[in-house]
This record gives sequence, structure tokens and C-alpha cells, in this order.
Amino acid sequence: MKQLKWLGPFYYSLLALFLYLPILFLILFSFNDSVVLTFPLKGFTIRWYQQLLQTPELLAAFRNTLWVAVTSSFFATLLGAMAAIAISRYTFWGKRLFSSVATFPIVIPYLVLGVALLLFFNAIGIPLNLWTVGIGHVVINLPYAMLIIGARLAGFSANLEEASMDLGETYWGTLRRVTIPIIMPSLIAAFLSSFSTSFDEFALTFFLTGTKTTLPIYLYSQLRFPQRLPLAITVAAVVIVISSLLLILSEWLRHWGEKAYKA
Amino acid sequence: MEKKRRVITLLSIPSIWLLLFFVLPFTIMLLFSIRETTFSPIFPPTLSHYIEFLTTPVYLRLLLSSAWIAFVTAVITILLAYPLAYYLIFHGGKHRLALLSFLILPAWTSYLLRVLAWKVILGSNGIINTFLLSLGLIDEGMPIFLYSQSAVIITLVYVWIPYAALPIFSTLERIDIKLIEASQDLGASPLRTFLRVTLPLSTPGLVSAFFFVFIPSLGEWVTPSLVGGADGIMYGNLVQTQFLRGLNWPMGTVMSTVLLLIVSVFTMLFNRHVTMKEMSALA
Amino acid sequence: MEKFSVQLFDISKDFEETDSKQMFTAVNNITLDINQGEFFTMLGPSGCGKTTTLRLIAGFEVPTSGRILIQGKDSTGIPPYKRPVHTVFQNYALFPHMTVAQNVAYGLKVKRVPKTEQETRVAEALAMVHLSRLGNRMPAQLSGGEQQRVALARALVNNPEVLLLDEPLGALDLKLRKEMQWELKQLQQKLGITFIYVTHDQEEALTMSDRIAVLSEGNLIQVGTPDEIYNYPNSRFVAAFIGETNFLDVNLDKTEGFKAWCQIGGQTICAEHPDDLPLFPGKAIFAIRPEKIRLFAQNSQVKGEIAISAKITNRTFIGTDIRYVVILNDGQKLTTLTRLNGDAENVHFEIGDKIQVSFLEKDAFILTE
Repeated sequence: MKQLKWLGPFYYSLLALFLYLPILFLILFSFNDSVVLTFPLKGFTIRWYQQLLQTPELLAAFRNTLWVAVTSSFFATLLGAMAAIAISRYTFWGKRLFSSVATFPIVIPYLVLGVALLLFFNAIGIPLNLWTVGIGHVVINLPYAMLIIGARLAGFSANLEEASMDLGETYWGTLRRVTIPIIMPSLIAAFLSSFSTSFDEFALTFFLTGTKTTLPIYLYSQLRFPQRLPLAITVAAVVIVISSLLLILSEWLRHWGEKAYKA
Repeated sequence: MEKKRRVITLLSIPSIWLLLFFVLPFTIMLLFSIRETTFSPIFPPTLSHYIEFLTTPVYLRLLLSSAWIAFVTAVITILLAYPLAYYLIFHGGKHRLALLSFLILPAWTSYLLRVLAWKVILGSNGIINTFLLSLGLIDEGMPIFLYSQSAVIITLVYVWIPYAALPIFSTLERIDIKLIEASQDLGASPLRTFLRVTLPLSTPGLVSAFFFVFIPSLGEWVTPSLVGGADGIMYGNLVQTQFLRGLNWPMGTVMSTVLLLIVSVFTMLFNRHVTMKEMSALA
Repeated sequence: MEKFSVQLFDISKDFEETDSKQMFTAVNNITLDINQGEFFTMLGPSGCGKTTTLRLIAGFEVPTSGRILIQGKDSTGIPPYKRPVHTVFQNYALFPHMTVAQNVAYGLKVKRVPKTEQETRVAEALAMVHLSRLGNRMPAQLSGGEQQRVALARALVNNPEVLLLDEPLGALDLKLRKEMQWELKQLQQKLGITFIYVTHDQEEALTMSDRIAVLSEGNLIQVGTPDEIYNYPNSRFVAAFIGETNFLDVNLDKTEGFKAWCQIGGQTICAEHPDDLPLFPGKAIFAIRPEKIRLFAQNSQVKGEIAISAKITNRTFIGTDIRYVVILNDGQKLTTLTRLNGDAENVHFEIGDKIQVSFLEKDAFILTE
């Protein structure tokens, strides 16, 4: 067995390469001074990044994406928190049914969800716009927000809330002064994770988007034109860096929150 | 009673939300699947689209080939992810979670962009082809890499590895190391210990991993539309086309309902083994 | 001033079991009067309903039936934040995001007590539990014992009329627990407020309480002073749960009110029901505590009336005492405790020795269940 010690680290490195290389290629090519994405590299440039800032549709798509992500993450977190508190702190009629319905979106392919929501908006006569995209994003992010916040709620005893009420604070006052401060890291984590999902969601958004596009939709539409590929890749590089940073932040918050309040 | 009031206050908005934007859309989808044309009323209902679906070989064939792609993807993904999780749990030391997180990180980044990356790598002017050309191993760009079933499978495997590694990792983590020691203490060889103790105990993780790769792959349409070409087309592409270009909404609705039914049946079958909580870490 | 601090009238609490959907009765028709300024303990094994009863008094649970009076006021449906009672939780339940001082000030802040008054009262409360210097620490930085004191200060700073304590010393190690027992008792006597204390530790209950209520499976079995509970247990459950007791199955030959006669090892013994309940001829249980039994050598003159022949079958040295198991000539076994006090007369028995067992009839009692 001893002589096989290198096998594990070797395999790990191989997988790491497999997972990271494609992304690194994208970032690499975003600085490459050529329209054709092949080796050898033609030379370093930041012109694609400059072009990014000079493409109005792209900037508009970026603004739209930001708006949808912020709004939908806010509501996903809010609704997720309400549902998580109800589920983890109370017993009520139909609790099992409620939690299975609330987590079911996780297993439904976005394609199916997209079709259902498209038919729904069409049936009730709501024109497709950024709001319909936002609603779709809340639907897919709500279960994750609920699970993230629920995990935090399960991590501290309901005794704390009882202690607060025992000391004279009302239930809603207790939520504000005890529960929410303690679950705050998970609220932020839920928000950030919803945000990053929403920010680059494509498969569902495609069905729900109207005339205003989001960044991934814009990106997809550009892929048909080979000469615009470098620009698309540059957008990709930017999005990758932003969402990685957000996710590292959200993970860090989650662990920090657990550590700080380990009573 | 006070407690009841609190539950009602907390649950009312999420419940209304779920009813309005989740339950109702699927109900409408079911209803629309039984109407005559895109714009006709629901009554009288008709099963004609279902009959058409079942009697037109292309739909079922596509569904089967998509299921095959999803199955192969799930199997390859698990075969790649299991050794990783095993290595990290049993030899990864105290940094094993950090090591796993490092590999999961790419999964957090844009799905579309990761697929795009593979388009760039596999394309006929892509990195692999130019690399092989420059080595003189091939004479011209080999189209087999892009626009094929293999391209779809490679890309999906790439996308899903982290999602498969996570449930396997957390299942292995829960195995009491004493059980493995006990098996070895009783004279079982490492291989026998693995086959008789470790592997059976990691079944829940394997089942979860399979589920969470197979189901979304089955409903996939973005990856095949970017790297699949004519050979790599999947069921999802046809559904999407019905809405986009075909304007055959009733058929698209039926196809999508069929997919929903398959997913629901799978969810019910796997319900006992698959814990949604494990996936929350991947949100 | 009300005579009773807390009164429970026929209180019941049913829970629905999560998986089986069956109803489970946690508290079954309990009626109790708790006096003003009393150290009252609810004692019983886990699952006996003591914590549920405490939570009913605190207002965290609403009784399925019955009424609760606090300071003479019907509090049955009143939410916890409107009750003049405060709780010290088993796991302390300190707010992890607040400092010690903020934790203690919590109740005062809720009641909008002026800032300066808050500060002096928090300082007093912290001084009372000897934590004056730790006001700025976070709870996670404190030891278990210190957290316990903070929880106590946080409740007491609000001058509750009743303090509820749910196994507050359960998580502490033995030495600290003994210290805190003493300190809690001192504090209660100094403040003169009612303490309702829940524990499964019989020794803790006996040392601290003015009165004890023994519960089992949701039922109230016996209420009394520690002396009454220990010396006059009204049932086999209480006798077995508090201290150690020998139980022998006997047949009552003759009864007279709460007195009865039965045969033990061939001798007729007369004993009484501890709760002065009438006894009737038939099957019953004869009970006696191990330390009430004395052993004598076979040929020695036994002081007192009873001398039953027996044989030593087991002998264990336990430090302060020696524990013998003896078998009587009718086959029944008794456990005895003999204190090692230098009184050489009865210490040196070995397994197999024939001896005589003696006790006073007033130390034995007859139980029907």
C-alpha cells in the first residue's frame, strides 16, 4: 500500500486541473489579442475589457441582471426565512406537505419550471419582463434559502427565544432582537447564494425574459457570432470572478456565523 | 391561540407564493396539455397530444437517448467523484473539507460559462484540436470533439462532478471508522473491507449523487444546444424548440408534463434516500 | 400577600407524538399548591412530566385542561412575557450575540427601565452572583459555572415573584454542583422569593428543598418535606427512587387500620403504612431501608425484639460502609449497609457466615404498591 501513497494526491490534482483548466482558459483568452480562440496566444491586450464598457446593450443587460438578482434574492431570503422559522419552530397541520412542496423546486428541471411559468404568465396575461424573470428566480432560490436558514435555526436552541419571552419580550420583539441577529450570517449567506444563482441563471430565464435581457441571455445571443466570442469570453471572465468572490464571502459568513455563536 | 396566529403570519406569504407561482403554474401546465391547440379552450379536453407523443417514435426515441446520456453522465460522474471523496475522507487529513471546497468552487461559477469553456476547448478550432494539429497527430480539425453526444457527456460530467462528490463525501464522513477497523481486525483484506463494509455503507450517498446528476441532466437543453450539434440533441432541446420556433405549445406542454411525471416518480422512489439538506450546501 | 405563590388545579398536558400521531399525556391531572417564599422541588426520572409542568407555569406551553394561578391570578392563557415568573434554563439559554451585561439588562430594557437604573441593577445582580468583573465578556468565553450564574442574574435582576429553575446544575461537574447547591439555597433564603426547582437528582432535592413533589409518568405521586418523602414514602416508586429500599413480597395476615402483621423469615412483624392509609389482609410489600438493618453474630444477644436468622451471600466494601446481601431462611434477600465507624462489633462478617438480622418495627413499612 505504501508505494501507492502518491495516487490520492495525483488523482486530486488531475481532477483539480480538469475542473479549473477550462475556466482558466476563458480568463486567459480574455486577455488574448485575437478573435480566434486558439493557441498559440497572440499577445496581451485589455481591449476586450475596454470594449465591454463601450457596448451599451451589454451594460444595460448588466444593470438588468443586477436589478433582478438583488430584488429576487431579497424576496427569496425573506420568504425562505419565514418558512424556515415556521418549519423549525412549530408543529402545524400539513407541515410535511408544506416542506415537500417548498423543497420540490430543487429537483425540477429548469426547463419544466420555465415551461410551466411561461404558460402561467401567458394564461393570466402578464407580459414577460424583468419581473417575470425575478419571480422565476425567487421560485428556484426559495428552497435553498429556506434550507440554509433552517440549518442555522436548527443550530441554536429554541430556548433562547423562550428565554427572551420569559424576560418580558413579545414574540415579534424576540424575533427582532434575538432570532434575527443570531441567524443574520445565514440570512446574508442565503441572499448571496440566491444572488449568484440569479446572476448567471440561463436555462429558466430564457423562457421568462421579455424585451429586456439579462447578462446570460445577452451572452447566449452573442455566441452565434464567432467574431464576438472574445467579448463573450471576457464577460464570462468578469462574471466568474464576481460570482466566485460572492460565494467565498457567503461560505465564509456561514462558517464565521457558526463559530462565533457556538454557545 | 397565540401560537396559531404566529404560524399563520409566518406561513401565509410563503404559502400564497408557492401556490401562486409554483403549484398553479404546474396545474395550468397539466390543463393546457389536454387542450386542442395553443389558443383553444380547455373544454372539451383531449388526449390527442399525448397519443401523438406516444405514437410518434421520434419523441420516445429522443427521450430514451436523453435518458441514456443522463445515465452515462451520472455513472461516469460517480465513478470520478467516488475515489475523490474516498481519498479526501480517509486520507485527506484535517483539511479535507477545504480541499473539497476548492474543487467545488468552479461549480459556483456560471453554468453557461462553464459550458462555453468546453465549446472553446472542444471546437474544431478549439484547444484540443489545435494542440493535436501542432503535434502532427492529426491532419485537420476533428469534428468528433464538438457537436456530438460525447461532447455533451464530457461537458455534463464536468458540470456535475462537484454535485456528485458532495453527497458521497458527507455519507463517507458519517461512516464510523471503527467499523472499518473492526472489519480489518476480523481479518478482512482491504479490498474485502471496502466491498463488504465501506461501499454498502456509502449507498445513500451514491443514490443521492446519481439522483442529483441524472435528473437535471435528463432535463438538460443548454449544454446540447451549445456543444451537442445534431447528434447530441436532447429531449429538452425539442421542448424548447416547440416553444421558440415550432410554436407548437400543446406538444411542448405535453413533453414537459411527461418530463415532470418522470421526475416526480423518481423523486418519490428516491425520497427515502435523498436528503435535500445535503444539497443546500450547493445552493 | 397571597398565601400561595403558584397553584395548579387539575392540570393536564397532552402532546401529539410526531411520528405516530398518537396522543401522549405528559402531565396527568396534577393539583399542587406552592407556598409563598418556598423552595419547591419537582423530582422524578426523565420523562416524568416535571419539565413540562415547569414550562406550563412559565407559559411556554398551554395546558390541555386545568387552571394555573400565579400570585392568585388566573394565568392559564397568559403568554410568558406577561407573567411575573422567570426561568433559568438547563442549557442557560444565554443570548450568544450579547455581552454578559447586555444579557442581564435584557429584561429591564424590554420594560424600558431608565438607563441609569438599568446599570445599577445590572451591577447589583452581577455582584450578587460574584461576576462583577465579567460584564463585558461574551457568553461563549465563560465557563459552565459562570454561564449558570449569568442566567441566574439575568432572571433575578427583574425581581420575579417566582423563579423557575430547570435542572440548572445538570451540566456542572460534581464539585461545582455542590457549591452551587449551597449558593442557590442561600440566595433563595436571602431574597425570600419562591423557587420552583426541577431535578432528577434525589440528593439535590433532599438537601435544598423545603418541599418536594415526586412525579412519575405524568402523575404526582407524593408531596412532602424531604424528611417525609425519605422516611415515609407513600409508594414503592418513591421508596425506590429516593434512596435505596429493600422490598419483600408478603402476605398480610391481620390488619388493624393502617397497621398490619406479616411473616418475615418466620417471625411475625408489625408495621404501618407510611401515609396512614388503611390496610387490608392480602398481598402487600414490606419495605425497609438498608441502613436501618443491623446484623449480629449468630450466637450473640440481639438488642431489641426482632432477630431473624440469615446467611451472608455477598459483601462489598464501599468506603464509608460495607454492603452485605443476606438471604433469609425463607429465601428472601435483603441488602444491608453497615457503617464503618470503628464499632468493631458487627463489621467482620464473611460470605457464608450465619448471622441474625435485626431492625426496629417503626423503621419498616407496608406498601400496597
